[in-house]
Amino acid sequence: MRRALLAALIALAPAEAAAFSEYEEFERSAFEGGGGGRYFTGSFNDGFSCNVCHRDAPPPTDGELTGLPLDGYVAGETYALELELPDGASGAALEVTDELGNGMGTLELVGGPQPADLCLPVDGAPAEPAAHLNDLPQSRRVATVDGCGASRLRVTWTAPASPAGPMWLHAGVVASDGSGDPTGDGVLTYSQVIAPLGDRAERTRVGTGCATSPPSSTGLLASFFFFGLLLVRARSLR
Amino acid sequence: MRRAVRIPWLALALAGCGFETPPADPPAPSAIVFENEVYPILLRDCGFPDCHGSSERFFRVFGPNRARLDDAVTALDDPATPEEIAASYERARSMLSGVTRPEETLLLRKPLEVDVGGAPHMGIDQHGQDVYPSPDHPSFRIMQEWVALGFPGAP
Repeated sequence: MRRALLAALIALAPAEAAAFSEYEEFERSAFEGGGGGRYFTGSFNDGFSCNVCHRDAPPPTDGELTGLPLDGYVAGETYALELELPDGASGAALEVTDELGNGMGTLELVGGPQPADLCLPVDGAPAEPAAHLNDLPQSRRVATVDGCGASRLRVTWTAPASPAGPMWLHAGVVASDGSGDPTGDGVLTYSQVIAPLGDRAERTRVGTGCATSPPSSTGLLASFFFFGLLLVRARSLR
Repeated sequence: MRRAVRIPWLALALAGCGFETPPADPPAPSAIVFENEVYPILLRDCGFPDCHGSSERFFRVFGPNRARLDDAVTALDDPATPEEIAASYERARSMLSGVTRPEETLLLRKPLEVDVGGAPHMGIDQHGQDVYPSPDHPSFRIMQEWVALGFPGAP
């Protein structure tokens, strides 16, 4: 009944821009065109990244992520991370998880926003901060930035108080062509392991996505070979 | 000689298994339950433009901010149209055909990890994970309950 009422309200509502131009949309129901709570960071718990929708353009080359403790994190230590957005960025999302996709450590936005952290002012109103924190199940916290004029996402990440094994930073950035649909957009993804200091962590747990996982030609050749062997063996048994 | 011995055994085995013939038409579970419960899940977890929003795939889901049934008349962010919900229902229904039990349907097997009874699926994520890691996933259970409505006689 409630859902039917909601559907009726949506049907009667005046048309409004509900495209994924702002991260608020990711929390909205998929029935209404939202992400249904998915943020597409590419983390282990939300394994698709922005490129399941945005496509047909090469990844932007002018974005950069700095501040990661690449030599290893120290328990309880706080690190300042900065994701510089490429030209035309329409949004970015970032989180740190363990290998099960649980949020690890503490992400916070850097206080005292500067012009590079703000949306462009609209109708003379004071400029709003472009970055937000989104708390999700499994202790996940996703930092997002809307492409409303900001040129970076600045966060601090405080490592867990005691060593908790390797962690992964996952982030996705969309550079839009401004067409209002997901075609013609380039996507930049980050999947970076953060190991405890002095430890060596698994560095290869990154694969492909929906459209890029057909069987490889090597796999097909191997399949034909083994199928051939089976045929020969079957004939020899007759 | 070997083959001559095998054939009667095979026939006996099939008879013993109660070999069932799938119905000619795909099952038709409730369209209302589909719209309210299953359609939002398919939109959220399957209907991306690169996955089952793509025209390259037979099983497609149409809806707002995903693939539209008719781009010419529906803006990307317009609410779902009755035609889109109906088309998504028919495509989902087609994924229930050719089998006699709910758990054998492609709609349930494809998104489930192979080691818990799923079927190979191209829609694995960046880490090689299928959509649902186990049949206990809440979204999978909703789909499972809906599919079961299409197989009223199944155990």
